[in-house]
Amino acid sequence: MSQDNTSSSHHCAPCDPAPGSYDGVALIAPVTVPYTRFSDQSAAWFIGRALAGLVRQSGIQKQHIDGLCVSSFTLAPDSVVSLTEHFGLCTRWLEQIPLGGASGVIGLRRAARAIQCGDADIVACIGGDTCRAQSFKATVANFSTFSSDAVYPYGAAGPNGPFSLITQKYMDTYGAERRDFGRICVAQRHNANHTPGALLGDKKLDMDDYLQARPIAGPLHLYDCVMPCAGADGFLVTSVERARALQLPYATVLAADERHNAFSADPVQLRGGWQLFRDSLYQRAGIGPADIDLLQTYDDYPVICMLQLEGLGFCAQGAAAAFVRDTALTFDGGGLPHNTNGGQLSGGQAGCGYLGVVETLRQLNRSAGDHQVPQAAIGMVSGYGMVNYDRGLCAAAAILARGER
Amino acid sequence: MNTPARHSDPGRALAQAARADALVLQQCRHCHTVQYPPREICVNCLSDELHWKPVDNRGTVLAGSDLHHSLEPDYRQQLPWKLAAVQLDCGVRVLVHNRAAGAAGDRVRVLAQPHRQGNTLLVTAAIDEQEASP
Ligand SMILES: [Zn+2]
Repeated sequence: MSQDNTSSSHHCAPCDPAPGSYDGVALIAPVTVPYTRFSDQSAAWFIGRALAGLVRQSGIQKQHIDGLCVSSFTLAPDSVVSLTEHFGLCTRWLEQIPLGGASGVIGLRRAARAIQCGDADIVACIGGDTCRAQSFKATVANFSTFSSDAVYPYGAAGPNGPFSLITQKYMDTYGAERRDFGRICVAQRHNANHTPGALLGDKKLDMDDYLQARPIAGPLHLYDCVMPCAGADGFLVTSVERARALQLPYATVLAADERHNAFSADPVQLRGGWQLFRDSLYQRAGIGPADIDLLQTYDDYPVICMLQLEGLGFCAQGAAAAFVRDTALTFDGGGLPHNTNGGQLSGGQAGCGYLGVVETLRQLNRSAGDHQVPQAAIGMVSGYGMVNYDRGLCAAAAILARGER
Repeated sequence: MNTPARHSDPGRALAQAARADALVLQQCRHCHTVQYPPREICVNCLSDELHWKPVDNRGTVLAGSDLHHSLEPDYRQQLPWKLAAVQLDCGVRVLVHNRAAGAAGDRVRVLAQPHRQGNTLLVTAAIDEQEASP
């Protein structure tokens, strides 16, 4: 099947002109508020504890944080401005990004521009969620207008419904097998087994366990489905000058981009917006996929990792199953270290795609501990989000580099 | 049933326009684009002059799956629940209850059936061979 025709009334323009450089921007102080399956605390509590962690880890006083960017599915009826009052902040820049699993990368982009333009000096970027017994169902049932009208009444399966169809179509089109998705999940569990705090990190998972798991929806079985939970991740965005003056380890942004509602005429989502900007992204970064030391993809389901491997040029369209057969994805396997802290599939889903950004920063700072990728210097983090109807609309990616001391 | 009844205005209008003998979807009066899910603006030309028209309800199954898990107790009694995506010949993609158990590539008809709380549910129906080709 060919999905190369983008002829449609709502087609996508190529990436021209490309975004300008992110020179001078530093990302510092990756923090995580430990994930738990359920919590009685609010999203504001998780975000607030992340903010306290940022202050503690950076040594920057709270009153010097003059920008705040948050993402959360569970913060309503409060918003980012409510949080300034909760936390006693007087900021001159605020942003709230409701883009699901693309929010971490996109928050990073927005905050970087604020730093470059002088709209803020130090921005705290935080993704955080709580999780209560019924909160996932409430989020899913009222996720979007299209979802309430045209998805939820069709079995009320939540995201498992649309993603079961995407996974089945991917298997039918490219010959991928369950075992291929299993390779991604098993490698991530190995990574989680070396990551203190990963929610499923104390449980082993081998291919037999994966294949024998109970069915959930079509080809999706238990270990293909991410587990919603409570938790938060955050980092600070400031200038390289300030990061150096504070003698803090930092990462720079070699390139970053995003695209939304790409390839909307494709019958089933077998590719996302990454295809439209990846050549330009690598060109701006001055590197190619072979130069990436570690990759964090957004892993709500393993098929979506495959779409990102293809979309970001690690293999050809439709070739991700062969790629994961031939390439070790573990942090210590010598292949392409992927979702090196276990990702969401083994770590839990909270915080709107911040997990991958924070893990990339830890790896580049060489502070990842037991799951450190040796000599990590360049990392890529990808975001994906918002199944408004039958596919995720948001795609984003950033290439980050270890900052020079 | 505690399924949220929070259907949008266009979602309710779809249910009100439904007929037993035809599939009625939203069409733009200006550019004639058929669209689904229903909304208040034409996806192509941004006109707000939309009306409800019987459309060609033949289509091809893109993918199907059996749901073994549901967030709603009422559906749990009906598991496995057959979900599918269908590309209709009139140009839109619909998620459906795959009552005809069409497999990927099969030609089917899609009908709107009354559902709970005055809503409709799109379902597949078998199609005879003479009718199947577009
Ligand atoms: Zn129109």
